[in-house]
Amino acid sequence: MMKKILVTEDLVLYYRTSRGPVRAVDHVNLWVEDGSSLAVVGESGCGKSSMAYAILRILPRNVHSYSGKIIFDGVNLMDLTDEEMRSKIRWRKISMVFQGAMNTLNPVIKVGDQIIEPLLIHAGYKKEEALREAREAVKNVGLPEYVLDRYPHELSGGMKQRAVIAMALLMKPRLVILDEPTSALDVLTQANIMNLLKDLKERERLSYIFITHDLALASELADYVAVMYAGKIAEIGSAETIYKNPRHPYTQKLIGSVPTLRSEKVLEFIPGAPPDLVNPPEGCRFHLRCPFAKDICKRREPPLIKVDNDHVACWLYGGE
Amino acid sequence: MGTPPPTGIKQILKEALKTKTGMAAVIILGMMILMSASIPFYSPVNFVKRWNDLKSWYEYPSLAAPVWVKWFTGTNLPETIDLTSKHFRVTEEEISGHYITTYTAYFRYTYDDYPSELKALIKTDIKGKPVRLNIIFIRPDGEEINLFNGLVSSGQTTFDISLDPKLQKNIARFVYEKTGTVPEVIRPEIILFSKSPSKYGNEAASSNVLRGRYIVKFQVLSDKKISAEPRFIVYGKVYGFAGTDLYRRDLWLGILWGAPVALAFGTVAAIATALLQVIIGAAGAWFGPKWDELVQRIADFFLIIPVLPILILISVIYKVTIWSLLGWVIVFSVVGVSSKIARSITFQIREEQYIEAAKTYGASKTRMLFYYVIPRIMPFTFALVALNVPTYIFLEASLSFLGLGDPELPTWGRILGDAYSAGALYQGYWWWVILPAFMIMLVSLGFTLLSYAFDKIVNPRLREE
Repeated sequence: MMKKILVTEDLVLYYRTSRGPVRAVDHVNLWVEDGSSLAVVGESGCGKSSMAYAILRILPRNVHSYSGKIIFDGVNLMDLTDEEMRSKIRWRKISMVFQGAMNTLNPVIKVGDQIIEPLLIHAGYKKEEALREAREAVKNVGLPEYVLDRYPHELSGGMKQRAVIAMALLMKPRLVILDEPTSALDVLTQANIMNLLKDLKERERLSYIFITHDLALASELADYVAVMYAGKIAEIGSAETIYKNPRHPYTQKLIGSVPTLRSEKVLEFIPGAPPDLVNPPEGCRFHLRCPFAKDICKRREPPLIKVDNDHVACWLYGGE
Repeated sequence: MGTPPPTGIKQILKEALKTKTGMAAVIILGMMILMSASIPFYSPVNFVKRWNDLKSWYEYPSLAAPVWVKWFTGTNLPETIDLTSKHFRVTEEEISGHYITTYTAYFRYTYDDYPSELKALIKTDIKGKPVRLNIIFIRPDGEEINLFNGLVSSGQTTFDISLDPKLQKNIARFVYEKTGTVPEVIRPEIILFSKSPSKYGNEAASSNVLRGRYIVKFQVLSDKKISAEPRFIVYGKVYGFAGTDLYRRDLWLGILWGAPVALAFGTVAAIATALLQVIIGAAGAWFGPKWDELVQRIADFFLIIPVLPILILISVIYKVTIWSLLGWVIVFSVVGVSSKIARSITFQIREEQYIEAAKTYGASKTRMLFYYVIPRIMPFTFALVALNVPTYIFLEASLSFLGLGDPELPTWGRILGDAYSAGALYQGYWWWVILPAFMIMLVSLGFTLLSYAFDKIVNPRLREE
């Protein structure tokens, strides 16, 4: 088995609201193997992005609790100070591509000046050196050099996304968190970006955490897939099993809801709505919508149970 | 969706030029800047000192209207005739060891009105004993009036013909010889230039002005050869483009000098306060609710205190110059309206994705504030800055008007203040009031139009598609 570059253990991130804590990330255990990509899929609001922020420790003001272990390359990131996180981990080791590239670039700063920001901040580069690096970086993502002198609004969505990816790869990180990198792009541009990401992964030996709600898209890039539901991991396993042979009822329903082009298929949906993360149901969080719910599901939360090489949090696969 | 609002400063200026209001503003302000830039070409270096040194303006007429008044009234109002030593022809005679040096000059007087004042000056370099001087005034009709006959000592001697009682006596004698009466009021500048002796002393009737060739003679009687520089000034009633004030100062120079002072004071104050207000307001909102609360409450406080009375108090207690005044203005506006604008925009920007991204790649809070947040707020304050410039120009003018501004620099407000204290409007010296007031209005108009132009560009709802 390959080396795990990132492991989270019991990662918790609750937000404080007037109604009580929101359990956005609730005791999440997952791992990323070196040089592979993990797709994190789930419905909107299931805590995918929160988990990414939790890993990088970019926390909003209203954090209720933040705990657990994040082991990156043998180091528990939770033990580092904020300053160490800032200067040693973010962008140098783990970088991130944000949701909606349109908004990730500051509209009043030229793309070039923006891309070199991490170099200026972290590596103490002079502006000219940094711009030279940036020229390489944009070429690397298939952009012409002149984009460096453009303002973001002069670029197309796909170009902006590439610029943002170039920025994420500038410091040669080991792990890149891609938070819905292709949402708001048209399908062709999406495909383009996905190919670029695949290509870069091979060339730069990167690991990815690829956060998306688009299962079909995830299948393009993912070696492993983690399915999140209501702040928890429902199932984590190789892409092969998740897509071909999903075990968790939620995953099954999710796969069933993906439209296919050729085969005739009645699209499935899951009755009910995702639970309120302030007051999640007792027991398994999916039991209210689960067709196979048993008695135990209502009482106790299922642990991650190892089935073959994969893990699934469901009482159907053993436990008590 | 229309085109996004431009963000760069250059872009905004370029767009502003395209609008009509922007064009007008640029023309007005360009004129002001040209005015300011042209000063070094015709104003002496030590102009500020000269403006306050009232003695140095003696060659200018007092309270002369602008020259162009002639074109509107149709009367040919007199301009100043200044006969300097180079206009005088010198003849020398020697009679039994005495030298008589005669300086003769003539001038043509063709105006429709009497001069406002007459003055004769002589500068001699004699050592020791005073010499005898005889000043003779010969009219076109051949009448000869002996203005002065007496001793003068070395150096410069000024004969204030219009005011000096000794000289007036000589003129009164001339009137008496002609008419047999002594006028109640002796106005030499009128008597000497009147046609009809019966109307002597009567200022009216410009038709009574005697036009023609006048001769002025300075005779110096001494026992050795001397050299002297005589001068004879016939002061007019119009002068220059803007006229003169009570203290004979050329108002046009004062108005020109007021332009850079007003522009500099207004723009520096407006830009400095806007920058400070934006930075402090944004910083407050950026660094957390406690700072925000503090900044906003101070801003509220500064918004309600009346600045003008406080500045008046300060300038009564301390001696202010225009720069210390500027300092005080800035002190009382470190936070204010722009802080509130900056705050609300900061809250909006704080949630933007690129701020999140910047946090991730490790930009420090200060860097984000100055590199990401404040540049985004600046365009919104553009219009406000342009609108604030006239406010500060008015403020300075108000203080100067009250005599509490800079005591040295000629500013529009100070010229107005001088005019007010001389009762210019009641006396009919309208040019003394209208021109500086017009300049203040013009510069305000320029900046207001500029602010409208900016507003149209920066404020998306006002954008012309």
